Amino acid sequence: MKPGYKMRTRKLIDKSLQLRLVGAFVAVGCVATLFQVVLLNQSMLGFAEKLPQGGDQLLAEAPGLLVKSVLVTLGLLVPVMTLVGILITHRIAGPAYRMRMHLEAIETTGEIPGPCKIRKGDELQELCSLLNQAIEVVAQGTHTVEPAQTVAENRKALDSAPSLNPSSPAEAVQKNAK
Amino acid sequence: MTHRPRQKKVNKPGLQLRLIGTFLAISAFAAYGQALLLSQALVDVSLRIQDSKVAREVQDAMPELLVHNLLWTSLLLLPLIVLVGVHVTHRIAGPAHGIERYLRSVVEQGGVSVPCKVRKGDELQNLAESINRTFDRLRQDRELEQPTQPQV
Repeated sequence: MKPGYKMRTRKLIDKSLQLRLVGAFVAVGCVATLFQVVLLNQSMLGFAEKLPQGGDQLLAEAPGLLVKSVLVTLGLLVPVMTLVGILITHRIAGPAYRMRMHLEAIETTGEIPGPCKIRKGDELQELCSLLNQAIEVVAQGTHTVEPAQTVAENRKALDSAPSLNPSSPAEAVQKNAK
Repeated sequence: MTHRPRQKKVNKPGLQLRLIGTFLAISAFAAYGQALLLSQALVDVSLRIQDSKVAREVQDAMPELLVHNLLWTSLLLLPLIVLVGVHVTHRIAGPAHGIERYLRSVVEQGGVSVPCKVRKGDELQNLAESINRTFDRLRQDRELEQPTQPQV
């Protein structure tokens, strides 16, 4: 981490984005678990039927076994998947939030506080760099024109320029012809 | 405004592949963890079976059972997870790509001609709206500060 950056303390920055992705992670994990349970259950049933003896005992214990292992898996896996999901989505939600805050600061004050910077290793680096360039382009007028340059000052400057201040229309035509 | 479905499903390969990798890792961890747990439980059951010959048979069949299940899981589940991953990550990578394209056009054209739009239901809607509001504000400021052209 760069020396200027503190660890992010708020982990849920964009709740809707992060929770949707975490939900997808948890759903994927649950599907994988249940898929495995169905497969193993199927194999176990086939195997128990083939056994000359003891098959009944195996079949009798099968539902309890499955329920127990599914509960253990989900009990361990769901919190782990949620934590992993939050940490991973944080790398997307964090920079998106930072860019939004930067834009809101410009929108509120009308001033550009400097380029928007996001942490190394975060996602959306290219987007951030393009955003900085685009802000510069859109704001170029605001920052190249001096605030003191008013309409009156422009007129005064034009008045003092001889080529643009002909004394008579005839003289102007003459100058244009040259 | 109606949007056509996106043809290109992988817009930001780096971001999408990293997220899909996480999906795969999670599902593999879940499936293989579950397989290990169940096989351990089956071994425990086999130890409780009185007939030692049957118990041995159960224990001997276990590795084959596990390999068979894990192969099916890998063959069926993992491609499915990749597809789901592409679909889910597309909702982030798609608008991110769209916003990047929009910003690039602003930089290349030297100004804003149309507002930034993101598909309904996609992520990063707020960011696109913030960009539009900020660019509007900057344009308004520029128009106010621009000197009036004197008439000669």
